[in-house]
Amino acid sequence: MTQQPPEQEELESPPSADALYLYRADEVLPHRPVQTGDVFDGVEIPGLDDGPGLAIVLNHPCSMRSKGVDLVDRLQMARVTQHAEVPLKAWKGYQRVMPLPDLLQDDDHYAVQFSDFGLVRSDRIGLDRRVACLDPLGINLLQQRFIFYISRFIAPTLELHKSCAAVFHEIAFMEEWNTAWDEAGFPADDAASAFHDWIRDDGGSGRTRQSRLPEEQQRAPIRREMRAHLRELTAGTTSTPEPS
Amino acid sequence: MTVKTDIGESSGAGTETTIGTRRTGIGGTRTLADIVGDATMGRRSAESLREEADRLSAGFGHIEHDGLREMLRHRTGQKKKESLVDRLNTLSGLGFAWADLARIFGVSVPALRKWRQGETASPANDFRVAEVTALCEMLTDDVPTISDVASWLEMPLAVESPVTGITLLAEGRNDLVFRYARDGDGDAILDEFDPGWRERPQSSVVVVAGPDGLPALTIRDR
Repeated sequence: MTQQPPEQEELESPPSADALYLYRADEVLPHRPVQTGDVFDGVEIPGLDDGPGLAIVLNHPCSMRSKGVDLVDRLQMARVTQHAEVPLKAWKGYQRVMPLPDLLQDDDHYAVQFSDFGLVRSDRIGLDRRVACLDPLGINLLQQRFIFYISRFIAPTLELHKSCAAVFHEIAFMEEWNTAWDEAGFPADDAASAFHDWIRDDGGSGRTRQSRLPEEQQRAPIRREMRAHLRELTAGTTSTPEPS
Repeated sequence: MTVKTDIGESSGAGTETTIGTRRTGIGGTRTLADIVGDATMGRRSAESLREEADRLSAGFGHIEHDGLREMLRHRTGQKKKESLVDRLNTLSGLGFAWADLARIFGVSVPALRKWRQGETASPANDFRVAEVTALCEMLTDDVPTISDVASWLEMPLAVESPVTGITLLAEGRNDLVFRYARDGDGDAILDEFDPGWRERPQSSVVVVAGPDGLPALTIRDR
């Protein structure tokens, strides 16, 4: 019997270049916690010996923080270099890089070089040097390509998204929390711990808000609770939060 | 030649049979051919009734669709009298994620942030914000089964599909959102919105709880 050739699976591509990004260039704000797919400038990657340059965070979204609050000591980062524009339909042919078209909104195109990655101390990257944040769609594509690069396994972005959706939402919650916290003039250093105290509280429901985030029907209610809580905090209805 | 027999004891073409001892019709005993003829007439009548019912259903559907569109138009006009910031605050109060609202309006999150800070939107975007705010109000006021409209719109229409009410709104399909709210048949809505969804092969990769309790990916058991 003739053996059938295996089905050909392909790496996915975005519907548009813009769909990859959440923030770029001057759109990036410090309130968003460091996340997979963040691009920083001025990063030296030990072992590459190519000096400071653009680099992207590769850590899995669930593996970024210790105890959910502080960034891990070292981040997996890959070099980002200028690259010829890759048409969307041609993405499947570029398996060792991830294209980052118009990354800095200056009509130049870049790509993640998966072969050039290493561990960077997290205290060596500055939030003020962050130049882009990927949208969850972009993060899923980055993960798919990186997983393929190191293992030749093709994980569908839909399933990657399902496994990270709760973390994506938690990061969005943290960003909104940090923004309101900053606008109210509260100490910036206390924002993360205050958020985690709140998200890990059960609010009287018997289950922590964090444990409910994986359920789609729970997110809107938790969002409303957070916004109401922040309004109370910033209106001075409750006491100014004590530093943790 | 006709021979009277009971059902099951036919003796050739043109047999006249009785159904047990029941007599049907004025003429009493009816032939098998009579029964088949009546059944054919009944089937055709039922089909005709079904076609008529379908026409009526489609007609009422058009009236319903046009009526909802007019109601939405009227309520949108009311919402346009409110400021853009107030409308966005209404949507925020319902619990929508800013990223989902940006997707519905077809803009970036930074652009939405500027609107929240008081910058104006284009006339088309300003209208769309008013329209979505009005639509959410209609769903909350007029559909008793929807107690949390933001939550309802975030739910997938079917377990096998990632399409949500947010997806439908992002594609401008207010009509499908209304129909889904009234009929609750997610599969029928998906058949119209994404006709190939049933045939799409399931991924062999699935999300499971990992050894640390966090989500992990593995190959589906075959």
